[in-house]
Amino acid sequence: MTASIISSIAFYVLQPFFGFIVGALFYWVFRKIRARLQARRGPPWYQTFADVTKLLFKESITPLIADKTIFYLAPLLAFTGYLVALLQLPIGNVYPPLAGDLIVILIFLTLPGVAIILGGSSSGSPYGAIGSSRETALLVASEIPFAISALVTGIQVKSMSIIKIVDAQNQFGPMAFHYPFATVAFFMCMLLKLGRKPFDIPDAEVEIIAGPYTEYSGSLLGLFEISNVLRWFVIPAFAVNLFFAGGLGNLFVFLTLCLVVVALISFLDTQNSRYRIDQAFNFLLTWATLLAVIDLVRASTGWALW
Amino acid sequence: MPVALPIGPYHPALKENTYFRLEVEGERIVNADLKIGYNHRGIEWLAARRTYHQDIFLCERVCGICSNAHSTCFCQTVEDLAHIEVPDRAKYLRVIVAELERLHSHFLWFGVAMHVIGFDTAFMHMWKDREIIMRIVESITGKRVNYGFNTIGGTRRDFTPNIVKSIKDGINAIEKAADRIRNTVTRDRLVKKRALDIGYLSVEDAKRISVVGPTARSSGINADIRRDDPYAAYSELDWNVIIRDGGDVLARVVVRLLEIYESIRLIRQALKSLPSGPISTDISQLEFPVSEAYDRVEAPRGELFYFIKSNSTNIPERVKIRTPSYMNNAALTTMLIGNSTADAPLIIASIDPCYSCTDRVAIVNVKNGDIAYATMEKLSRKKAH
Amino acid sequence: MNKQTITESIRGFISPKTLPYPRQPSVPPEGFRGKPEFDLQKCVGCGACAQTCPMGAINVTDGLERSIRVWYGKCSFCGRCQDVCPEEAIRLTSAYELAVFDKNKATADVKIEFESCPSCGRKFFPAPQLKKSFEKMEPILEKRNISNEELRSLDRVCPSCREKPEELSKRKLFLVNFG
Repeated sequence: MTASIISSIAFYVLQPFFGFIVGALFYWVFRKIRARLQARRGPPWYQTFADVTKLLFKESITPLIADKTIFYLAPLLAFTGYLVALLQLPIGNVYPPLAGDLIVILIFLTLPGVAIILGGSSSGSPYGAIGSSRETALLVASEIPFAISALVTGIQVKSMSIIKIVDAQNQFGPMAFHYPFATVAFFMCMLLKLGRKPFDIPDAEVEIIAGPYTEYSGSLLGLFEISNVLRWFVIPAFAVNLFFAGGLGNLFVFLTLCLVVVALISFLDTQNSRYRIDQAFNFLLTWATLLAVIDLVRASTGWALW
Repeated sequence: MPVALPIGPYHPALKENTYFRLEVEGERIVNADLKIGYNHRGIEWLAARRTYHQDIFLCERVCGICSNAHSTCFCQTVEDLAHIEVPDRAKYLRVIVAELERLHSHFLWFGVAMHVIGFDTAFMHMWKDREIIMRIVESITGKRVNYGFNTIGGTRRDFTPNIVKSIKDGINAIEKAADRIRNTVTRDRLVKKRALDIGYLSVEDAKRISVVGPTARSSGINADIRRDDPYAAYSELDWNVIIRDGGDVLARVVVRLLEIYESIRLIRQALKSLPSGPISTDISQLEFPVSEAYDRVEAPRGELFYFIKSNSTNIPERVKIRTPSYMNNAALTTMLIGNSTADAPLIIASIDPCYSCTDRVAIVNVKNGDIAYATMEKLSRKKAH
Repeated sequence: MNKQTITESIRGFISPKTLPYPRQPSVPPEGFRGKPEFDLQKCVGCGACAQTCPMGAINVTDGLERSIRVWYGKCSFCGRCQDVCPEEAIRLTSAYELAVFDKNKATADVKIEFESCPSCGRKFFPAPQLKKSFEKMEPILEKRNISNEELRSLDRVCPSCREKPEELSKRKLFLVNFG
């Protein structure tokens, strides 16, 4: 009894640090592969840690016309979203004590988008306002295919528990094999959740400086950066758990599959330019939703092609 | 209710500082205004306080990308003023270096245009190819920008046979790089989606605003100083002037791409028929007249105009510079209205703006025709009347 | 997404085109215009470089001796000093890593001693320049059969002392004999 309590507490204390460090290293792998595909060399392995540390040491300036409560709340909200989702995910052979629920993870993964919207509109600058409106449109458009393709796996296993989904894949084979359309739709939404091209519109540097992040500086921006680092672990881990059998219960295989996902994201990011907001909206609501709905129909009617 | 969205003076989309005030409704631009003058350095005032030879280097530094065009135009104006005859070899050398500069400027523009639409990979690849030109120019002139290649009466350095060979190899590599740009730009669905029918400038508007350079030639205006008012050795070489009448960003892309191929052709011809002889005329015994002269060259961005007035000293009385970006900027307000904010940086980048070129100030006292040139410091100290 | 970018990305992945500077040094090509350096043996102290520098980076200060100092903070590496130097004493090397922590260290200077006037003792002309101009005049003087010693003793006198009555008479005699 006490052993399980101690191991639960150990899990909840160590998991965030593990998520941050592995997330920082995944972000470095992304940046290194992106640099190499652009015929240059890329940063050293400690770059992400250095960036976050520097931001935490700097002064945070709040604009006079900003709404202070929401301005301070937004980074915390983003951090909470990724943190709670992180604590629900099984990592290879380590399962969370309180069984992760798919719906809970999906809800908490929308919180960072809401946080960006709140942060951008409360900052009082026109760039923040435009960035927030873009993020709203994208959140609406991307949640539909994201949620549908995630729920496809739950419908197949007839349960919303992540652990049951992973265990079921150990018997049936990976979900990516059974439901390829949902996997593709999920990948498209992953590019948006991670803020990568062709969907990095709210953070489009050349158009609106930094969008919702414009007026953030210092430790508040550092908290946003920490949550952006966490998402580089949470979202690939989520994808591997849902569609690639969670690494078959092996930590090493799990991390390797996550690295493959990160490399694929890096490749897709370098080969595309940025969509305009209306083009992205159309694309997500037509193609991505179509693919997800096809597999939803297949899962709910039991009409599997193979 | 239109919201005012400022772009600049500090903005990651712009390479230099300028101020655009866009009034937007949602994502559509309904009104646009432009303010320049942030990069004013008082170069015309400084030029009237330095000798002619020192002014070559000063005028080179008006712009980093078209610096050779400025120094060529300055030297040509002084040569016109004092009736100095430039040897033939120097004329061909000037053509080769000017076309190399045009190549590097167009490659730079392609990279920046790709970066503005978010295609960072193409940006990095195009600038990687631009390095070939930068290395050739470094071995010819000793520097990558601000070449210091021209002097009054000719050029300062000659081409050794090694340099000629490296230029030939480099141009072959550049031709392959231009093919790569063509493949990237014309076959990428997303690039075409973002460049077609954006930032339209009609022929009538272009003539009314008097735009110059590739911006004018992409709206159907048939004007190129290298053909209309030939200088250096251009009258002896054979090439085409590229005209398109699309008027949108895609037309400007196509015009600049084809100009790259024409520059390659010009360099190859000039290298083949490079005459031998001296590279500069000796002007140490020259009697400098009191006169005035003007001259124009085709910089990568358009028509560059210099006017010099001399007195009896070795310091010019007045140097007046009119750069191409000065004319092209005026077209921006027409081009921006009606498009969405996401396209605004691409439209601004498509005229290839160079605000370092644009800002100089001369104050004309209309009562007695007196001309004084002021630095920002002096202007800010004047009391408001 | 297009085929051209994909192939070029893979090519770039295999061999990146940027140098891991400063671990691997970057050597500029021959003819690169880097830091200008004085050759102390050749400089005669004429100051032509200071007059022609467009940036005003070379300054001449006259005191008990002439000090010519180039300040690398202002230098634009244009090479005009190398063009006009009559003795080829200033050359642009290929050094480009010129950053310093103390800006007063980013200088180089030459000290040229002055020639003293035998009449009033005032230091008025750089000694090497005088010596060099006499050397250049040698062949012309030989052709006209003028003794170098005599000319030297006349020219070593400073301009204000040349107006003195005894000097004026010496010069008139010289012109009558050899003019």
